[in-house]
Amino acid sequence: MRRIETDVVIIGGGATGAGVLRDCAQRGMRAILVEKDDIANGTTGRNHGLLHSGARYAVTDPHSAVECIRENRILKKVASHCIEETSGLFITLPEDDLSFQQTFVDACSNAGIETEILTPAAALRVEPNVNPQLVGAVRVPDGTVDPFRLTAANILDAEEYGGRLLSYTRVVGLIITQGRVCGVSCIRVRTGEKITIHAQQVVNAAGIWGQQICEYADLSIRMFPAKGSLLIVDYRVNSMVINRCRKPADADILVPGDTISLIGTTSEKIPYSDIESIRVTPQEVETLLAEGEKLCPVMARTRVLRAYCGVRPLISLGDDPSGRNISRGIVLVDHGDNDGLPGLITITGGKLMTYRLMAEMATDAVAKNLGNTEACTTDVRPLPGASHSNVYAPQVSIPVSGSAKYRHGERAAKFLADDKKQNAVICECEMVTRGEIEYAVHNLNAMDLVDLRRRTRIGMGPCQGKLCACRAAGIVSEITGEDNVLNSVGEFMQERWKGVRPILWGDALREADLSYWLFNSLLGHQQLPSKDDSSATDLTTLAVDAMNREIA
Amino acid sequence: MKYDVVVIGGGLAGLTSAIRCAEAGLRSVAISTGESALAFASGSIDVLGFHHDNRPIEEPFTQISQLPAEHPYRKLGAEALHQSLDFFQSQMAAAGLAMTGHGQKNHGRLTALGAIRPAWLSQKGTRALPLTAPASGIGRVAVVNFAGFRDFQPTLVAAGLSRQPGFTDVAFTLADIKAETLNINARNACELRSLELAHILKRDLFSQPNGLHILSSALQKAARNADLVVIPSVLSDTDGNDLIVELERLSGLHICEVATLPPSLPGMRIAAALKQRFRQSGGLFLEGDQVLGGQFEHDRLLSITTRLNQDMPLSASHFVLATGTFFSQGLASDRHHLQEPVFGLAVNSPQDTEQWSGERFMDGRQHCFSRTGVITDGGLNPYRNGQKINNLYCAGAVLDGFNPVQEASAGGIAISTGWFVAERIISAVAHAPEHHLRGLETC
Repeated sequence: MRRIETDVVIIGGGATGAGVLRDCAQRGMRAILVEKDDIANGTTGRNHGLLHSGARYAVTDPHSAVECIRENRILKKVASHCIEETSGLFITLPEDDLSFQQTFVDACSNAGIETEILTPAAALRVEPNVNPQLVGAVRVPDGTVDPFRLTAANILDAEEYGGRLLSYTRVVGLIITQGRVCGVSCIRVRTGEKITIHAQQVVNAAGIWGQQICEYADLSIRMFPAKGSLLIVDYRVNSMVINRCRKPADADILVPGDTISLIGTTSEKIPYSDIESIRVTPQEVETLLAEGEKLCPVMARTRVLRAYCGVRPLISLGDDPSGRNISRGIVLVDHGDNDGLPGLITITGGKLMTYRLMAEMATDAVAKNLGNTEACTTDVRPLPGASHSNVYAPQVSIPVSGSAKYRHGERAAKFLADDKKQNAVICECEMVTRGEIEYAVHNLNAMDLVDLRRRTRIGMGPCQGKLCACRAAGIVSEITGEDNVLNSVGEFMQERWKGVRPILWGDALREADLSYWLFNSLLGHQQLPSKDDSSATDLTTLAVDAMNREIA
Repeated sequence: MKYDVVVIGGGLAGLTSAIRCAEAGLRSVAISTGESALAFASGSIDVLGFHHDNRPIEEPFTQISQLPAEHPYRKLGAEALHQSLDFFQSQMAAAGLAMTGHGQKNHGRLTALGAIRPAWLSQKGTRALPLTAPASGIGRVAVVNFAGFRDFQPTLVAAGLSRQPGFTDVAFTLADIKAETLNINARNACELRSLELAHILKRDLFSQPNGLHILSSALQKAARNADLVVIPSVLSDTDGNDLIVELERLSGLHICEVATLPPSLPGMRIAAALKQRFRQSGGLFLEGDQVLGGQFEHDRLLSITTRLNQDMPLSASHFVLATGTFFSQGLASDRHHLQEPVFGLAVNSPQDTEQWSGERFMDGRQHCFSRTGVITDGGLNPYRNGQKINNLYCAGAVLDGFNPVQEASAGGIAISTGWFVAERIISAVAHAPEHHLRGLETC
């Protein structure tokens, strides 16, 4: 069994956990983040990617609205390469009550959110695809944020300050000695290796899975999971975030993102035991399409690329099986103060939007317990990629360099080299080069194809990974020397399939039919004998061989 | 102009049917939208490779009688299957594309993921491996790529192949022959597709008097005396097999060409050979046009309308629908129905859309979308609005009742159903009272 010593262990590789790791590392604490899967694999990566202005909460939850607009302004500065300042519209349709608009505008001003009332004609000028039947529109500073990029940038920065990520490492117990939490026991998911990490503070940032962490210490934190489903449509049908100007309801936000648009979300309470097996139902698809068409009628004629869903971690403290005391805001619990169990802090609730604030609150609590007096600087220090320095890359085409800079900011200079092999485009839908893939494996902790997708958008375009899955797998196996990358091709296509199956009609079915034919007929994937990882052949020597044997 | 037969679709099924009709003296026209599924196919012909439970089949012809009654093979029978494959083989040989196999038995075809997939006929450059002991006589395999070609990954071939029975103790050598060595002059050789690479090799390497020798010695150097040298199929879209035979003679190596990610050159060679045979047999091939619909009267299709000639319907006595599956747009779907888009023929379409597919993408046994198609009678005539259409015949992947990918039967079904409907049409034309037997062959 491996034993590691550190100051702080953070459980959960979502945006919040990554933010805590970065904040701890920047304040000079030794910190390790433990994540059972890949970073941003949970709720962080399964939402709208909406950079809230707070307007959506202004009427119903003014406190959250104030938090949102503050973080909105901060993130636009420190995470600019993860954000698009699209601005947003809150539209009133004939079936909505137009008098709500004034209530909405007043609530926004009270929260400090700037608004601009537009005539329907003016709204159509700035957003030509919006429903032309609208009777009113208000412009607010909404935007979009890429949660994968945001999380990866936090991890990258944390690592540059000495923090450490252990992905694919599951916490299986808390180490409790003399009434104090002093570390975690873990298992490396892929190798089965056991690790204990001894630390003075353990931060539970595991979101919906945080209930299980608390159960290791017999603490009662009860999660009330709510499933939210979304659809991705091919093409960016809207250029601004579009909301309905009414109290929040199902499927009433349309968000542009990269090359696509997203409609969501539905909301459905589910039993805690179902959180690992959620899927998008045909009824949800119906709702999302019907509501989406009301925002942008062109959606009815647009190909749906995929569907996905996530779980909101709503929390209830103490012994409350009914869920009546559910909190929708940020919840920070120092279990030393609350339950007489020092060494453990839980940070949960909140939103992607407030991840930085949540990280700051949790790190403040950790710092206080450790006697660290360094101030938090995450609100002013830009993340890697957000420094606005120019990247000059004349050796690649503008779409290639543009996509690289869009995803990685100034860090794109690290892989836009003057090297034809590095600059070869591997994913043509999303313009991902071999160099970007190698950079993601070496610098961004991508271990397999699914991870690679979260770092680079590979396989996220219209073709859903038909060609680039094999191309990228070849590159990853050359780098890592592992032959289980071959399994990763199947896992990658299965992961893509999960999102395609709920919307399997029209072009999506056509594309799936071709993919299935290619992988199983042309490539014979079905005929590959499965092989468990433990007996994986070490291809390291082969890969090195391959690179050395470029025949001159 | 009235034709005896109009074939809709220019893939393996359509052109097999069209060649057979044209060869028999029928006035034949084939209409194709463009590249067919052959550009995505291995260039080997599979007949029947797997039982429904995924057990491999060694002798496909003995298993035909075990198939369910709605399976196309059951409708035409083992004898017709044999005859159609003989016909296909002779056509390919006549076009200079000899294909062979292991007699009545299936053989193994190596794939770009290092899998071994059953097939019945393969081209010369595709080394047909014995299915039972594919590794016999092989101690070392070299997997050699060209110029950083991105649609073939030697590491994946080695990883997959090393898992196959008998290959666990085989040693692998991986190599990439540099663009400079191959005299390739391209903006970025690493970004070339297989077809572009083949054209550039022809222009920059094989046009040189010693081009083949350069390649041969580079292969020898890369292969380090391997017993088998696996290369991507990028050398030529036309005479690739002859090039490999010549390379083997020069280098003394045993070379196996593997179909790459699309476009797949071995598949395109079959497409080219079929088109050549159809034209040589007097057929008219209309490429780049699309059939929009047809004019029906009771149980007959009178004429069809195409996109390029919308005011001039094309009439014929008989029609063949060989438009392929969803990705070729022979089948289509909206949110609630699976459809046949050209004529609105009856399709096997489960009401519950969740039944259209299974949860595991790679296991196709539950994928209805792969098995479904146009419902036909024993003579492969389809139904429209409840009425059987007696002069319209269906062939190939558009048909219902078989799973071409899971059971590895796409090639055999396309050839045999294409040939079978051609035989029915030839016989019908011969017996038609109005027909003038313009040199119509009897067979």
